[in-house]
This record gives sequence, structure tokens and C-alpha cells, in this order.
Amino acid sequence: MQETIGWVTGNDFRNMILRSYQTFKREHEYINSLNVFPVPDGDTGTNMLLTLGAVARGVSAVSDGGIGQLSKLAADSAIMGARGNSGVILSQIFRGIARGLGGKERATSSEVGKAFQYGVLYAYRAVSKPVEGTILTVAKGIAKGAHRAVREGLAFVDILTQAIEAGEVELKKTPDLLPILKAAGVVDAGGKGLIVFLTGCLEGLGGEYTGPKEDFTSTLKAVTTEESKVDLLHPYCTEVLVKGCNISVGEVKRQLSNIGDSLVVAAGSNFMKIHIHTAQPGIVLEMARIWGSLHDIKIDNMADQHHHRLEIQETFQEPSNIKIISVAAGQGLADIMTEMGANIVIMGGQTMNPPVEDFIEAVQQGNGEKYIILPNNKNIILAAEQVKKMLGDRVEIVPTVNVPQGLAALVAFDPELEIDINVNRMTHRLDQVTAGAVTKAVRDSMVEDRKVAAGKFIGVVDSRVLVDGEDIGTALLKMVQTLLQPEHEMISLYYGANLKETEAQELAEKVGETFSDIEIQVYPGGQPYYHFIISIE
Amino acid sequence: MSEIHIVVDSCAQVSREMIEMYPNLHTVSLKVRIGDKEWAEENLSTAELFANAKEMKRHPQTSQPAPGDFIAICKPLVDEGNDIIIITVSGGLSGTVQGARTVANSLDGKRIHVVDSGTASIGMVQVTKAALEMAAAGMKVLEIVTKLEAMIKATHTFILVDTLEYLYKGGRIGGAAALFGTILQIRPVLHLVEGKVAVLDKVRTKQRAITRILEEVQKYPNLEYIGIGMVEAPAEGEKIAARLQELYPNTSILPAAIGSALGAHLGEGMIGIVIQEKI
Repeated sequence: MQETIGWVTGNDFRNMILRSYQTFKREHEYINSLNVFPVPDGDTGTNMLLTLGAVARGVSAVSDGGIGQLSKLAADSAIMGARGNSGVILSQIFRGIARGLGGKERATSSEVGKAFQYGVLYAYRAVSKPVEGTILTVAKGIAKGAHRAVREGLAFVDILTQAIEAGEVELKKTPDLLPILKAAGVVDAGGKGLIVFLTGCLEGLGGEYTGPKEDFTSTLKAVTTEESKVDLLHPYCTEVLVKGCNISVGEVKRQLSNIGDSLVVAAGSNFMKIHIHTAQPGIVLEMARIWGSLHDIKIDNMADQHHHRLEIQETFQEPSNIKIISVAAGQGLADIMTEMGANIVIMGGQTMNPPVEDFIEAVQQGNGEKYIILPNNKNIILAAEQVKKMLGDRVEIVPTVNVPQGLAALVAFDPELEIDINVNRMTHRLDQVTAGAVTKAVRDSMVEDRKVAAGKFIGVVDSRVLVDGEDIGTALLKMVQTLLQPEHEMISLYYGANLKETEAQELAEKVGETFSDIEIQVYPGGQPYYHFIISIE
Repeated sequence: MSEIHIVVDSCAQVSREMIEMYPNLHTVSLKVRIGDKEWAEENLSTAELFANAKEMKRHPQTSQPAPGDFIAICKPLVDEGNDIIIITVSGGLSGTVQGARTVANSLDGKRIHVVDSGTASIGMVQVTKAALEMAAAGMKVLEIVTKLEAMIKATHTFILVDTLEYLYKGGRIGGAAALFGTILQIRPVLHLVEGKVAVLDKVRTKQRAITRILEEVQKYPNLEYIGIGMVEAPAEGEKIAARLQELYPNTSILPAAIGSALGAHLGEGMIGIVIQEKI
């Protein structure tokens, strides 16, 4: 690494990513375990690992190239491969880095340090309501550490080391900033992921991080509670250099703010670099022409930049106007959805949030004119919305947050009706179905005021624990009791991979004995973690 | 002296009283077949139909009246110089209307008028009654046919089935509707569109299905009558009738008799509603 003190090359950048991916492979399970809920749910470690995996594949695709080109490749791969909220944030960091290194063959330590600061800026920008105590707090610490080290004129390896140290300090503070973490006695999982990522980068440069490191042996974990929306992408990444301009950065930002997102305006002495994601690149250029002369115009359709990789089941092939893309965790659920008319089932869900790329690929491989996406999980809605931003009117989303809602929406679908009518009908059904699930608490946890011991069976709705019991049957019965309303007529139970059919049938019969006037249907779901997904209508 | 005679097929299930009251009313039977056994529709009740089908483990099938059955009734009447209006079950459900047209053309296309009711059961009965009354009032046959067609346009038919199996196996539903799954219990809400069975909506429970049909009925505020019939589903049928009477206190609720031919295509537990807007 001594020879890299002065310059960081494209090759160094690739080594950082590849090594970091390896490091993340080792650590992601631990990051997953930092979960305040007793149910595996949108695992942060896995989401970041898979996002990083996409980046690693992206930078491996070219054998050489400057650091600018590689960082751009990394950013594009991250955007397409981003999974879950933490993955989306990580992808924004890569975008910022690419922004900082754009066009460079190689970069000085200080340039790379600054690029990482850009990354943090982008991550902040990505979240419309940044919450402190999350990955963003850690990112900010990292940026500060990097900033100090850059000013001291250190080599990049040392800049990274100081950045990690500063990040660790902030990571330790996350429980004080976010009460939910404190209650569970953990640090933020996304923040931890970021530290792991940088540590891997450092190792990729031949360095080794030996500084202070927080070791949380607690088995409890932090959930990414960012409920805030990430800035979504408009399809055209538009960049332009405006020379000889006499307008302020603030004014440019104000004027451009309504026609796109991810807006970055960087001003020099008498020039300005504008970067925006927009659906209307022509309008951006037209506006910029008034401010000065245009140079280095670049418009990319980000939908073109993904790489092929997926587990998609394509089913019906007859041409039809509208195709449905549904996400399922478990073969049983996938089969049911297919049978119910889903044309494409993307495997994923609870702990495997499929990336944007899978949806794009599904659309591009399918032969439908229009697509309706059923995310069937709250952690997948963001990715679905990103797909819609990229593909526009071809894609509509029925924002299903669980499997019962997804199936209820499928029931309402009529391929002979217009897409708008269908989306309306399907969305209308979502609140007509009551959903819950029964699972086993995989670790001790505090949920709201309730202490849930590992090994107990619990009934959950939207990650909230409503009931618990010593065995599955008790939890199931309590759950049905809690959810059942007088107008309900039918309970559908989808049993998971961890139950045999006979066990599931026996447990369902007990529910039937207790609620004799309710119709009970049992289906193999094959989903991981959840012994039963409960749907009441 | 020439008269107007009305011929109606057995899907109407016109009552014995009506047949006795109008000497110019005639019926022809569809046939119901299970395995190698065949019945004229009126000789097999729906209860017997399903019992036999279960026992023989065969899906029931139906066939339109033999042309000979139409000819046997129509030829002597035409030879005597009478006009005939044949009222058939919806052409979307049965080939009866085609058979009747073929017979009409072979005998006397000018004298025999074939009217596709676009519906079944009570809907056909009401059309038949109107035809008989207009004939009795001395109206011309073409005027009557025109009036009947207006009436048919104002008639809407809704159907709830427990399962699509019977419709599917009987070939009465196809295309997209047949595609949707049977893996989850689905209750299709059906209606007749241009006489054909079409899916109005799909829900998962019976009450939702009933609510959905009532919503649809209420799109028509001024009704001449509401007919309701069912196969082996008396309790629900009565409940729906009561709800409809509440919604339409001044409209007659008529019982709709459903014969074994319709039963064979709709299955046990079906409920049918036929309404006619005031014209």
C-alpha cells in the first residue's frame, strides 16, 4: 500500500470494493442480529451485503479503467442492486463517491477523502427526514473524521482509519439518540454495516483497522426504523457544466427543485456543475442555457445500466395487456400467487428484499404492456416505487404490505379491465383483509412494554407483538381471538416451511373447534420464519 | 282465425298454472344427461340431479331441445296459419336459440319469430307473460316482438355460484375468467353480458359476494320486478330477498324457479337474481 500513498487508482478502488464485500460476507449475520424485533425482518446485514455484492460485480466487469469510471460503475450497480432501506442509503453513498471522483483517472488521497464526504452528503440527501441515531449519524461521523484527516494531509489509508474511528464514536452514541435502540441495548445495524464496509475498504488497500472497536455481545438488535422516504430516481441522470453564469447556486437549486431529484449544484468561480435526476432532461438544459453556456452535457438513462442476475419465475406467456409482478417468500406462496394470476413471481420477502433490478428485469423480459407490482412487504415498497420512477406509466403499484393483502389484491384482478380500474379495485381490497402471523421469538426482546423471551411463540402484526404463548397452537388461537371481528367469515392459514402439513392441519382444526362458525382454510405457504401467516376476511 | 302462439323452453320453468291458463302457451324441454342416462328437464329435479351426479360420479351435461320437438309443436300451428313467438334461454348459455332459428327458417321464417331472452328462469317467465298478455290484447306479432326486445334490454341477470367448476366443465365460462385460480376459495360474482356469463367481480366470502351483487342491483333505482332463485341454498336466498325488499319496498320480489338444466351449469348453492328496469 505504500505505493498508493500519493495516488488512489481505479485498481485500488476495485480492490477496496472486492475486499469489503468479502469482509461483509463474514460480518453480515452479526449485523442481522442487531435487531430490536424478535422476528427477522428486512435484515440490514443481508440487504447491505447484497447491495455491496452488486457493486462488486459491477466493478469486476471491467479489467481496468480510471477511478472515475469505476466509481461511476459502482454507483450505477449500487442503485440497481439496492435492497431494503439500508441498501438504498448505501447506494446513495456510492453515488456521492462517484460524484467526487467523476472523470478522474486517479485521485489524490484528499480527493478520495472528499469523495467519501460527498457520499455522506448524498446519503443525507436521500432521506427526506433524516433520523439521528441511524446509519446517517454514523455516516456523518465518518465524514467529519475524513474531513479532519484530509486537512492534515494524511495518506488515504490513514484518512480511512480516522474516518472509521470517528464513525465508531458516533455508532456508540446511536442508542442515546434513538430510544428504541437503547431499550434493546444495541447499536444501529446500518451504522455498524457502514463501519464494516469501510473496514473492508481499508483492508483492500492493505491496511488493517486495529483501533478501538465497540463489541456488542448483546443478541438484541436495531431495526432500521427510518420510516422516511428515500429520494427516488427519475430515469435520466442529467449533468451539465454551465460556464460564465451570473446566477446564484441557491437560485439554480430553487428553480430546478421541482423537475427532478438528487439535485447537486456545485459552483466554481464562474461556472456551475449541475447534476439532477429528472424525467425531463430537455427542460433542464433549456433552463441552464439561459444561465450561461453549456458544456460537458451528459444524459444517461439509468434503466440501461443494470446487470443481469435474478431468480424470476416467468409463468403465463400469452400476450395480455397487464401483467402482475408479485413478491413471495416461499414456494407455496409463489405457487398460490401464480395460480391466482400473478404472471411473474419474484422470490423474496421478509429477509430477502429483492432489488430494483429484479423488477426491471421482470418487466423487460415479460411481454406485457403494463405491469402491476405487488410488493407484499413494507420493505419492498420503496424498491417498487423506484421501479415506477424509472419505468413511468408502464408500472403501477398496489402497495401491499403483507401476503394476505397481496392475495386479496390478486383475487380482485381482472385482466380484461383497464389498469387504472384494476389498481383501484385491488387497492380497495387491502383494508378488507386482516393479516397477522405466528412465529417463534428468536431472541429475547423488549417490544414496546412487553418482554418477550426467546423460544416463545408470538403473534405479530406489522412487527408488533400482540400475543405470546408457550406453543404454536396457543399463540395461533390467541392471535385469531385478537384479530377476529363479528363480520368475519373466513380464516386462511398459510403454513410455513417449519411446519409439516399434518401439524398445520391439526393446529388449524383446534382453531376450527374454537370458532365453529368460521370457515378455516389451510394452505402450504412454505415461507421461512413464520409458522403461520393468518388472513382473516 | 289466426292466433299468436308462444313457445318457451324449459329453462323458464313456467308454472303448471300458467300453462293451464293460456292454451296458446307451449313448452319444449332441454335435456339433462348424466353418463348414459338422459332426462327431459322437467322430469329431473335439481335435488335428483346432484344426487345422481354424485352417485354416478359424472358431471351432468345438457342438450338443447331436439329440432323435432320444436317442429312437433310449430308445424301444426303454422299449417293452421298461426304466428309463433319462440322465447329461448339466453343464447350465451344454450344453443336452444340457434336450434329454434333453424327450425323457424325451415318451416316459415315469416311466421315464426325467435326471441333470445338473454336471461333465464323468472326473466324468461316475465317475457313470456308479457307476450301472452299483449297477444291477448290483440297486438300484432311484430309489435309484440319489438316490445319484448325492449324488455329484454332492460333485464339484468346476476349469478352467485359456490364454485366455477360447473360453469367451466359445462363450457359456459372460458377465456380469462376460467384462468383464475381454484387454489384459494374464490367466490365469483357473475352476470350475463349480452347473454353470456361474465365475471363481474371476485371475492373470497359469501357475504362479500352478496354485498357486491346488491351494490350492482342498486345501480338501477326503478325496477319493474326483482326475481330471485337458488339451487339448494334456501337460507341465503331468503336473506337476500329480505334485503332486497328493504331496498325496494315497492317492487315485487318474485321467486325464480331453477330447473336441472341451469342447475347442471351453475352447481349447488347457486343464487340468481334477475331484475328488470321500468320501461
